[in-house]
Amino acid sequence: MKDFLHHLFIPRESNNHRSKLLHYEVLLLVIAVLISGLITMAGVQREYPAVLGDATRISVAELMMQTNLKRQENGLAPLTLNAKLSQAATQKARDMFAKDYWAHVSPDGTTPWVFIKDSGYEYLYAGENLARGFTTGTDVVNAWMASPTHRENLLSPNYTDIGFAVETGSLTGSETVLVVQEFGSPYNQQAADAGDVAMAVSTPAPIVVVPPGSVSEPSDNLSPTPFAIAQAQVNEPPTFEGVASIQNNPLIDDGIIKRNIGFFFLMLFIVVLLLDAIIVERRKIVRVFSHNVDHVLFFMFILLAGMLISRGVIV
Amino acid sequence: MKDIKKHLLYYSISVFIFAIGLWLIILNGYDHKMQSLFIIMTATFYFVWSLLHHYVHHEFHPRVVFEYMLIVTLGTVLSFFLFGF
Repeated sequence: MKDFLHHLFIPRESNNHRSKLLHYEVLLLVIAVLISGLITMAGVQREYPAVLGDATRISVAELMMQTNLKRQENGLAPLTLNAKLSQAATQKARDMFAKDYWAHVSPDGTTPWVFIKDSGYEYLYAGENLARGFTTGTDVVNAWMASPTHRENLLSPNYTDIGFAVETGSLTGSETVLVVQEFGSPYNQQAADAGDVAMAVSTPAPIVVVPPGSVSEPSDNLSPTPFAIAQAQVNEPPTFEGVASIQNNPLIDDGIIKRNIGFFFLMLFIVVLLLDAIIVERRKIVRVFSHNVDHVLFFMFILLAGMLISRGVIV
Repeated sequence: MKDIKKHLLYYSISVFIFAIGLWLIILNGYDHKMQSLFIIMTATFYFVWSLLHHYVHHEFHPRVVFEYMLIVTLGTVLSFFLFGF
C-alpha cells in the first residue's frame, strides 16, 4: 500500500520520475471518473431526491423577517405580507416550472405584472426578485442585497406590500427550490387591505403588520400598462399552506458532497504538483518540460473562485 | 524556484489573467451563466497563453498541448463540482 502511494504521489524510478497521478492516462481516467460521477449524481438526484438532493430550509417567515430587517436597517418602513401578491408569486413559480424557464419574462412573453394583476392586486408600483438553489432564507435575502438591482427593489420606499412563494420542482434539468418575491403598492388601498395577512403568530419581532403608507407618485417604469382603478374586492385571505416553507433534508446533501469532492481533488492535485516540482528540483532530475507551477496557479484560481461563489442564483 | 525566476514575465501575466478572471467572477456574483462563461474564458486564455509561451521558447510539442488540455479540462470539470453549474 505504502509503495503504491509512493508510486502515485512521489516522483521516482518506478513512475519515470513523475508522480503517477500526473501521467496522462491517469489524468484522463480521473476526468472520466469525475464526469461519470456528475452524470450519475444528476440521475440519482432526479430519480431519488430523498437520497441525494439539495438540503433546504427556507420559510416565508424567515424571508419576510430578513427583508423587513434590511429595510428597517436602512430607515424604511416594513412591508406587509399580502396574500394576493403571495398568490401571484406562487403562480409565477409554477409557471416557471411548467414552462421550464428561469427569468422574469416567460418564453411566451408573460411578464410578472400579469400574475400580479391576475391575483387581483391593482398596483401602483410593482417589482419582482427571483432566487433558486439557496439553502436558507437568510442566504437568499443576503444575495439580493448584494446585487444592486435586487437591492433597489428590496429597499424601495415605493412598495408597501410583499408576497412570497417558495416552491420546489424540476427546472432546466435539475431539482431546485425557487423563491419568488413580489413587491407592490396598491392603486386602491382597500384592495390591498383585503389581501393583508397577519403574521404575528408565525414570525418574530421585526415583522409588523401595519397599514401600508401612502404613495403619491405614479409608477412610470414598473407598471407597463395603465389600468383603471378597480373596485376593491373583498376576498377571504388565502392561507399559505404548502408554500409557507420548504424543508428538504435528503440523506446526502448534493451541494455539500459535490463541493467536498471538488475541493478534495483540487487540493490533491495542488499538493502533488508542488511535491513533484520540489522533489524534481532537489534531486536535480532533468525534464524537457516543466509546467507544474502554472498548473498550480490554475487550480488555485478554481479553488479561490469556488470559495467565493455561492451555489444559489438570483435574477 | 529556478523555473519561476527564469519565466517571471510568463508567470506574472498568468497570475494577472487569473486575477482578472476571479474579479469578473466575483463581479457577477449569483449569475451562474456569466460566472461559468468567465471560468471557461479564463481557462481558455490560460491554455492559449501557455501554448504561446512554449511556442516562443521552442518547446511546442503535441505532448505539451495534450497536457494543458487535460489540466484545463480537469479544472473545468472540478469547477462544475464546486459551483453546482
